[in-house]
Amino acid sequence: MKCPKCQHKQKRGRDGMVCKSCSYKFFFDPQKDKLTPSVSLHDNRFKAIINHASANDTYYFTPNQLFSSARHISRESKIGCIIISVVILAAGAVGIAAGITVLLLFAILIGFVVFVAGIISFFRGSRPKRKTWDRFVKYWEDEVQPIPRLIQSPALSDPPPDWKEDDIYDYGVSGIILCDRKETVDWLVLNQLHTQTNTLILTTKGYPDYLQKIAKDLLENQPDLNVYLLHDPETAAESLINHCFLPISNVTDLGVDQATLSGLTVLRKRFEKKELKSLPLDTIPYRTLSAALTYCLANGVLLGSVLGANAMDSDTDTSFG
Amino acid sequence: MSAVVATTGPGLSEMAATLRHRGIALDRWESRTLHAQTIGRPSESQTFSDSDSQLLLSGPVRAPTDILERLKNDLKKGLNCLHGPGIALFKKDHKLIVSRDGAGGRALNYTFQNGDFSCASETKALLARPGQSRNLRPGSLAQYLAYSFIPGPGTMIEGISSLPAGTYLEIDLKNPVTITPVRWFSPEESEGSISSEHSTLEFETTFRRAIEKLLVQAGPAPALFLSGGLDSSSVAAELARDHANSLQTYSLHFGKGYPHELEHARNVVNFCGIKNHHEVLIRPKDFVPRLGEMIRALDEPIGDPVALPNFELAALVGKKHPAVFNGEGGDPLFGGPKNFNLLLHHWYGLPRHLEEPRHREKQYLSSYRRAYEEISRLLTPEFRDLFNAEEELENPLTPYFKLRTPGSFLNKLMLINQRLKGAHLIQPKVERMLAAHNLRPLSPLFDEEIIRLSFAIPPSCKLANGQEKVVMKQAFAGRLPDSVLHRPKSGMRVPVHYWMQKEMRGQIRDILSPRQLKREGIFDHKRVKQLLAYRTDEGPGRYGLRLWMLMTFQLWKKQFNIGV
Repeated sequence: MKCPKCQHKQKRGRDGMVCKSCSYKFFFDPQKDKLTPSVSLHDNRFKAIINHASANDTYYFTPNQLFSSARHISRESKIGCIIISVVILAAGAVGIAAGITVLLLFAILIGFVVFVAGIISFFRGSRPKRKTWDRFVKYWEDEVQPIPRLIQSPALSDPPPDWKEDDIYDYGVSGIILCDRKETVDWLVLNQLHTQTNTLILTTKGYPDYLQKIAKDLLENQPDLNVYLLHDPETAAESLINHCFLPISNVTDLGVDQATLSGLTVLRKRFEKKELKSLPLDTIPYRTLSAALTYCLANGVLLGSVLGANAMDSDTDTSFG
Repeated sequence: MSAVVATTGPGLSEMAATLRHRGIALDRWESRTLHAQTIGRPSESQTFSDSDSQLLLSGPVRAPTDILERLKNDLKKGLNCLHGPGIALFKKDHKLIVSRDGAGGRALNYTFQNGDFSCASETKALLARPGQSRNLRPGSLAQYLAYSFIPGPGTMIEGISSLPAGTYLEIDLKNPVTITPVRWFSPEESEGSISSEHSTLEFETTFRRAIEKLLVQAGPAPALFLSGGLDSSSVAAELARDHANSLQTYSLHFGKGYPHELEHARNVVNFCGIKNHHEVLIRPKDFVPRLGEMIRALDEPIGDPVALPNFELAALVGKKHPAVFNGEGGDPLFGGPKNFNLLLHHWYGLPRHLEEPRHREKQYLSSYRRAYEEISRLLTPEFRDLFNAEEELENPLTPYFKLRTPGSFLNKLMLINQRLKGAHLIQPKVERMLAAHNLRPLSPLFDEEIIRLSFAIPPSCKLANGQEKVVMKQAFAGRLPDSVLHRPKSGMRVPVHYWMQKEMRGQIRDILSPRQLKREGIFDHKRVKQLLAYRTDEGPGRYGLRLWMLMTFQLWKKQFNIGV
């Protein structure tokens, strides 16, 4: 076990659950707490998952994103298993070449079995189940501390204070983004997408409710204001429009469908085929989505086409800074 | 171009020698208590004197003939009678008044050390004084990383301050001790004095007057840096009214594969009937050998990569013209798009943010998109212990958010833009980059009357319905192509993101070598290594810009032999 605080390495059985170096108390017990039958959970791994989800404490993230990161981190750990298997096999091959004993052949056999098991596990294999993961998250939050930057939706229900300046709402926006879920609004707003794209972001049902009137006034003053729809692939756009609190006639569905999500390399590596069919929007890493959205709003193209081209799936940025 | 040095102690000649690149020695004051010298072109220095007072003006400043009487009767009113960028030294009896123009068109740094007062247009002149300390002020480095410039009143050097735009110092020459600058230029007091119906016409008239005032300095064929954005295009349209045949416009680009605005600039040229348009290519292989020269001319680290195209373009234009127009000032004064960021920040009830004290300051710094979030990662813990980050970063902004006048939030942002970004980044950067090539900047949008106007018109004439710079768009409707009036702001996209990975990869790795960084103990070499590899846990980001800022700082520190 590696201590997440000081990175000291120690053995669970011999050294116990307290770090010998800095007295950090380990919470997860790798011998009992398993993400999958072959992947154990320990504090350092749990913190690595949180770090991945928050992009090194940069972004707020949803439970879906935390789970996606758990898949990413635990998948990476299988690579080590494969490397070990390959090393054992290579050692065996050297043994054969040198004409050494039957015992070595036995080692090769074991190595081969581990290798095949590793390969199967890598391609098909056991990924953490959502229920198992959520249980560990709850366990940690109940017993240790709330996870920083993990969004507990709804997070924006309380209105802002009355500002001493009366012109805060006077200058309009360049567009309105309507989402299907409160969690999506929380995710985008807490990560400042609204300030970066100069947009008002709400759900189609009018969450947060203190912005409903402002949204209506904006549309009344600017009937040609751009209105966008952003939703999970499984949610029908028509139904959202029909039940929207705003009288919208001209709306652009930003258009993320299941095929687009399934096509994203980053998600294909983390989710199985059948899971890919029902992924929510917020499994896309925030940075990927925000870069794509910013590009779409500035250039008047659909999100699906940008994500589909994997243009924002790699280490690129719309900024030239 | 114009510069001034003054001291109550020794070392005037040494100070003046550092500013020779700005022109010839002009007027000189010598007395028992004060020595002063102006430098530049002959037209950039004026003296006035009578029986008991003297005035020395450095810069293209317009002054009424009875200026001495006015200054003696009412100092603040008198200073408000001076127009144009420059520095004024007014001496009466044993008092010295040192004043910087209201717009901040010329910079002035000063120091009180060992019982003496000294001031100069550039820090390098102060560093030439005998016994002057060259120690880095640690908090200023944090400010530089967050703002990309130093917002004042401190500078990068311990003990040296910068005079805010539109303020003066009153120094007792018998006993020069540290004092606080006094404000004399307060354009915000005119807030709301013009109705929205009259705003466009007032803008058109004032803008035309600002350009006419500057035309006398432009030479027979006025020149303009034309980016293709709204601000410089507006200047082009106004100049082209009477000078379409002689006007010379210059646009730049960075070569094939890099984004540029040439198409928009060409549209403006064609639309306005401008006859002489030039497109200039800027490539790393041409400017890298001159980087040291550029940093020296910058005088203090300014992390805005746009300094580079300013410097390179000036090298070309300075051979043909005495001065060049630019469109600087439109964004800070008439509502650039970045203001929406701060406004929308207030719309949602974000408990975690809004409960934080000084959340406005934090949001403002974050909206700069420099290296504000990077400071704790980039600086070593030992260096961070040398300053209070919150105080250094947020204190320059807090007084503006607490002001009663201006009352509107947008005008508070405009005031910050004018006094900090305008007076400590945009104008000093342009002025110094041009002065290095014997060229004078002409910035009609930073004219004092334009600044007053920007506060006098209603805020809704700046931003409305999600659109920026409304009054400018209205004033130039039909006089500029629609594609220029209505396109989103893009800014000059200097491709440092790519240069740092390609053409400048070798230089930046040398400048930020781990051995050097470890020895200095300022920057965390592991974090810098991540930036250099463009591989951080945070995913893609503006690492090119951050590397440019680090490079500028390191080169500056080396050039001026600054100690830590």
